[in-house]
Amino acid sequence: MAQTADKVTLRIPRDAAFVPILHMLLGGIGLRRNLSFDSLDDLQLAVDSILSSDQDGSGKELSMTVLLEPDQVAIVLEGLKDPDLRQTLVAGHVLPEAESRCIDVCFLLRSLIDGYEVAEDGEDSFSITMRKSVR
Amino acid sequence: MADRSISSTGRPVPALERLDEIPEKELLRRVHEDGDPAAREELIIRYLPLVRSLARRFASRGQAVEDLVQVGSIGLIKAIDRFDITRGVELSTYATPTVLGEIKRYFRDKGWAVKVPRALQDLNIRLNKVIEQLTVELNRSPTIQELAEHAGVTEEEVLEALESGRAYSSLSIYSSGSSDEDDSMELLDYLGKEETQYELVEQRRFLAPAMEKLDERERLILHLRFFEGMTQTQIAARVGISQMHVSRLIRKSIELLRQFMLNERELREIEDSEEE
Repeated sequence: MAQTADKVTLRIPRDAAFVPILHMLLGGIGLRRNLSFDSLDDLQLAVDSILSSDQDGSGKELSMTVLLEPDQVAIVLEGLKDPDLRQTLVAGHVLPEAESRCIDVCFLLRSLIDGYEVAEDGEDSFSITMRKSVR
Repeated sequence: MADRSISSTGRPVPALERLDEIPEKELLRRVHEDGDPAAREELIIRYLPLVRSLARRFASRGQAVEDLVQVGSIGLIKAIDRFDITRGVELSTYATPTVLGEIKRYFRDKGWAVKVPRALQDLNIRLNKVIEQLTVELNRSPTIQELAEHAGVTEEEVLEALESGRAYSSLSIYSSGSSDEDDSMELLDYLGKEETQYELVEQRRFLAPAMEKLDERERLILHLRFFEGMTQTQIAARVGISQMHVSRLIRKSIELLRQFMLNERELREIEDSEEE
C-alpha cells in the first residue's frame, strides 16, 4: 500500500509581517523530518524568494501547504498573483520585461530545491509546488 | 507657510508671485545662488509626495510610515541642498536614491528594531557558535534536534531563536556593502573562463551591475552558493565564517540585489515620465 503524505496547511494574509509564521511552520516540518539547518534554510529562502517576487500579491491571502512525503518535502504556495512571476517561472528564466523587477527567481530555486511546477489555481492566481528531497 | 511674495534676499520680485507656479529649475537656482529658504521650502513641499511614496514601500517592516516619511524628508533636504544645478539631471532623479538611502540607513541603524526578547537574542548568538562547533564535529550541517541538545534548550526555542535572528538580519539588510569601485570584483571574475552555459551567461549579464553593490565576500558567497552549488556548510568552511553568518549574508545579498533592481526600475519610471 502506498504511504500517504502528511499534510499541513496554513493560510495567512499577504503581508511581510506574517512571513515568519511560514518560516516557523517550515521549521516545525524540518524538525519532524530531521532536516539539517542547511536544508531548512534552503526551503525558507525558496519560499521567501517566491513571495518577494510576487509583487502583485500584497493585501491578498496566501496559503502554504506542506506535504511530507516519504523521501521529499513538497511546499505548495497558492494565491500568487504576479503575472510576470508566473511567466518567469513557466519560462524557466527571467523575461526581459520582468528583468528590472526581480532577480531571477528560477535561478535561485534551482539551487535551493530539486524542482517545481506551476499551476492555475483561480481566475487570476496561480500556485507553485516546490519539491526538495530529504533522504 | 513661506512668504511667497518676496525673496529672502530682499531682491525685488514681481508682485503676487506664487512660488508654486515657479519652475523647479528656477527654484533650485534661487536655493543655490540666492540661498532662498522660501524656494527651498517650496521644493520640499513639491517632493513630499515622492517621499511618502517611497516610505510606503517599507510599510511592512514594522516602523510607522510617518516616521519613515520624516526620515525620508531628511534625505530629500540633503538632495535639494547637494543638488548640482549645472548638471542636466532632474531633481527627482537625484532625490529618489538619496531618500531611499536615508530610509535604508535608518533601518540599518535600528538593528534589533523588532522587539526580540533578550533571552532569544542571546540564544541566537549562542546557536551561532553551536552550529559552527557541530558542523566541524559532525562534518555536516546539524539538525534542529542536535542544536537543541547541545544548546540545552527545546527544539521550539531553537526555531524561535533562529527566526528572531532572521528578524535582525532582515532589518539590517541594508548595511552597505563596499561601494569602493576600485576593489569591486566583477561576478565574471569568479566564474570559470570555460563556462559557456547560456543560463550562466544570461545571469552574469543580468546580475553584474547589481553585484557591484555587494562587497567582495558577499559576491563570493553568492557565487559559491548559486553558481558553484556549494552548501552553506561548505561555504562557511571555505570563507571561514559560521554557517549562520553565511545564511544571513545570502539573504542580505539577495535582498540588496532585489532592492537595487527595484530602485533602478523606479528611477527609469521617473525618467520616462519626465520625458513624456
